[in-house]
Amino acid sequence: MTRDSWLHVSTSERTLELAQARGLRTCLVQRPGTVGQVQGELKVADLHALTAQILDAKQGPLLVEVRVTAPQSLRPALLDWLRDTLLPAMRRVPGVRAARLYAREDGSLLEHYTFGSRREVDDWQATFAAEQRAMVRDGFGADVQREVHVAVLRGAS
Amino acid sequence: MTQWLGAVQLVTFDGPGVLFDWRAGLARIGVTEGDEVAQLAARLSELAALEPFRRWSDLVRQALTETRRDLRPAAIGLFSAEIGRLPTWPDALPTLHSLRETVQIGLVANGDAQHQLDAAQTCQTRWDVCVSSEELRAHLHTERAWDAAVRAGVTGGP
Repeated sequence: MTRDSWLHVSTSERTLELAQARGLRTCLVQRPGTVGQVQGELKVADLHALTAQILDAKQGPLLVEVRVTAPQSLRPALLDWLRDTLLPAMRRVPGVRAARLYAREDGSLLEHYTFGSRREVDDWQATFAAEQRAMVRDGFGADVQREVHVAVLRGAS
Repeated sequence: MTQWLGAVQLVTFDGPGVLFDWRAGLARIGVTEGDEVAQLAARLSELAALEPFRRWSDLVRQALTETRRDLRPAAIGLFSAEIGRLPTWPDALPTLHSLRETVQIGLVANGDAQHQLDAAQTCQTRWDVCVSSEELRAHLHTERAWDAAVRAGVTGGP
């Protein structure tokens, strides 16, 4: 964590000055009674405004859904490998906020990865994704299909 | 103008004020006048700057007792102990739940360790980073607190 990737949010001008002096990013939220003259940093009317600005800047969060189909004979071993090897590896990828695996009634599998920002998805696709595709191909052959869909999420709860 | 927000990885919040509606909490014990609230905040800032370090609940108790001598000690004691259970602002919980899909979230606030635990429960979340003034042994109005918070939370440049 670097100082300029840490944003502190406060209603106290004194607190923000001290944080800002140490290289942190700062945001003043205006609540009843707040008087803020902090210069050069963010000032918002409420936390919804802050959230909207962060999500816009990050173009996120994003859901990467990988729809996996495989011959029935490969499914048990594939499920074990996805659960025990791929998901833990994905949780270590920078920007991944959540990683989940679902088995559907029809036997197909769904990998769900939540990334914080578009840039982090692009970085993953440029680096680890190709390596992971190669691992699936080497381990299970060309009969396993993994179809990737990326969607920006809004209204997460 | 705010492109730098794209690089933010951790968002920390002051508890009272930003997430909790301190005034609504005070109104529950009969402190409703704006100038009383301002007086209380000013007295808390003075007390927070004094040495030796004292827990936030002790400072709140003292400031309230001095500001409103007519309040029952039991009411003051309960308020001081339950700062992490104050009413939240309407935008607080949706913000925490939306942001945690995108960045790490944390609480860096004046308070006792118990207040921070209560705050997690009240906000229905878990903090990626949680730092209280009790842990820092300094209040966030002071240089010392921020030096310690930055030392604890920062691992690299600039």
